[in-house]
Amino acid sequence: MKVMVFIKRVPDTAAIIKPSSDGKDINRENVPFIINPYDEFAVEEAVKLKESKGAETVVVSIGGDEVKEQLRRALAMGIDRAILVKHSEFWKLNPSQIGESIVEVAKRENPDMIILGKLTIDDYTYSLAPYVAYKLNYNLITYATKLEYLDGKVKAERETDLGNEVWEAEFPVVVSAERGLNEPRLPNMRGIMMAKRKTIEEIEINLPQYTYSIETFTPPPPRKGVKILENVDELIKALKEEVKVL
Amino acid sequence: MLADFYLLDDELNEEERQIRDTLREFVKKEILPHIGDWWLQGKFPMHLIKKFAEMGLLGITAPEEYGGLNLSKRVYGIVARELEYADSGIRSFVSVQNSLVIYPILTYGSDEQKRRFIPKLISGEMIGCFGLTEPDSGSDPASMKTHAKKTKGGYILNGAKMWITNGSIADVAVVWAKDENGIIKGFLVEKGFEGFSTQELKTKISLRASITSELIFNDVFVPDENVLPYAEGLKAPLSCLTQARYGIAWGAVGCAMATFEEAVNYSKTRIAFGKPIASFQLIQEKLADMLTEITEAQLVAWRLAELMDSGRASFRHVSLAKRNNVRTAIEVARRARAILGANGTLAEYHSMRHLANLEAVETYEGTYEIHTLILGEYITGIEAFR
Ligand SMILES: Cc1cc2nc3c(=O)[nH]c(=O)nc-3n(C[C@H](O)[C@H](O)[C@H](O)COP(=O)(O)OP(=O)(O)OC[C@H]3O[C@@H](n4cnc5c(N)ncnc54)[C@H](O)[C@@H]3O)c2cc1C
Repeated sequence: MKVMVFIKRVPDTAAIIKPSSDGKDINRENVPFIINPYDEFAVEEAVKLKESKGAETVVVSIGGDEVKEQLRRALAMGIDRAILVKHSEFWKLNPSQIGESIVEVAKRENPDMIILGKLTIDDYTYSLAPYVAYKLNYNLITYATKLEYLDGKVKAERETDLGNEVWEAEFPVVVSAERGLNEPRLPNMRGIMMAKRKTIEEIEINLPQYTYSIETFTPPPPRKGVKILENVDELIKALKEEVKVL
Repeated sequence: MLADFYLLDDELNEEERQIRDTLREFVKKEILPHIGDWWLQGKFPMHLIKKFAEMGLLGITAPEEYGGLNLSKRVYGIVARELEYADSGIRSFVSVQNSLVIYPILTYGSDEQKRRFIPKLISGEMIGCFGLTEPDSGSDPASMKTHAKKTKGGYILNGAKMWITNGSIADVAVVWAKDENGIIKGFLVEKGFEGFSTQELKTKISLRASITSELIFNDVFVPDENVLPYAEGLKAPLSCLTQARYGIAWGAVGCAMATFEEAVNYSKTRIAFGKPIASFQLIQEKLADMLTEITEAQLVAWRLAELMDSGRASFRHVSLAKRNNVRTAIEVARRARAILGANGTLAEYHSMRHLANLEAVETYEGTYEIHTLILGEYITGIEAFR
């Protein structure tokens, strides 16, 4: 069984975000970066599959050398090898271009299963898993909160507004990971040292052009200061007049 | 990071940086939120032992054939620093396992002893302790009374060891005792050996999140295969202490960084006389002194790591670093405590706990005074212990 996961380098959720000078993106200087948290669920799931079923695991990301930091972390968590699709300004790619890259790499590798985060915290397009499954003609399960592996297929739990569902899908399949799927491990020292010996293969892909892009980016307004109220009457007054929710 | 003013961590290679970062995540998630409570309750977090082992913290420099990571002394230093950033007691546990239990068995043990004990010590299945100090023999370990008498197939051990970190949770104790000729030898005393008992010291007001116990030997039979064959004389246990003291020199930097950062953050938000206390010159002077001293201590630790890794360090180099860096950490923590005012006395903050811990750290592994005498002897050529 071969499992592929795709990860994106995103700003740390705890970082203070400012817009870039052209106002279309975030300022990427002096911001700490992490693996997109939902992609980290995907990495953990793949490593667990490797441990329980001996799956071959591959992690892929798009970007420049800086992205190797996140690939190394996935390798340190236990993924077997990495592929870096070279691109100097990956954050400017639109979802279709990222989707095409994933499709291209998947065609070379022919995995039985592709696990993706349900979204990336910087883009929020939720689009990749359906795009990739459609283009590759793979089965699709979105927002999985639990995965179980049977012979040649996967059983997944999902939560909907109406209740919980259990799905089954035969390989090949694309799964998108929802919070709750697992608790990603911290890499340990042995993993970190072993990751050094694992390869990061660098490849290039010609990407099609599309005619859509982000036009402006505005960070959320800063949070207002805390106000301490003396009693319930004041609270009700504030909720009516200031917050206007009552 | 503010406390790494001279960017020394820029010297770390990529793997070392990753190790540091994951350790920081680990400490932030698993230790810092709870350490104040553990300390107040006088409880060592037993559940972390397995996690320490999984992280690789229990066999940092040990060879790979026994499950170790075979990493540099520099990495060992970084580990000590990051753990002691949280608490000296947590670092003590890891120091004892690495430097005072695994190290002597690797250095002075037989192949059979190495195979039997080291993998389990590294995987956390076994906990070890190191028994040198006695109720009446601390700074002058040559005066120890614990003795071993040769008998058929082994030795009969009698005496007591005091102040032993991990003593009552240990599966194996590395115990130093004199044979009939007065020569100090190392014995691997296992939990459950007849006549061997332990008693935990419960009233420490320092290192409360670390277990300290007395070990009592009442005609304990130790088979020949549990005697360290290559350890003879006081220099064997002292060589172990050199390893552990090196870790303390780095660990103390972690304490100093933690209390400095706490003081900086606090001073920027605490208002007195209508403005943040950070805007007063007396506070700024304290902070400037703290940063200067931390930088000095860090430089000492880093250079010592180079000397250790290239095999050029003597125990005297280690003495200077242990003596200086622990004293620095105490002085930094004390000023941090002062900057925090009354809040500084609470366990919800970290400075007072670090300060209380550091009092024991300054005493164990050679007191400040003993390291002064070691350096004094080096400088003058005159021994002044007696
Ligand atoms: C929490 C804790 C954990 C410990 N863990 C361990 C452990 O795991 N294993 C172990 O073997 N030991 C351990 N120790 C013991 C520690 O190493 C000893 O306490 C230390 O060596 C000092 O010995 P002492 O307490 O007997 O002090 P003493 O030797 O009695 O010294 C008392 C004072 O006299 C000073 N002094 C002594 N001789 C001289 C001199 N010649 N000139 C000037 N001043 C002198 C000392 O500096 C000190 O200030 C631990 C101690 C503590 C507090």
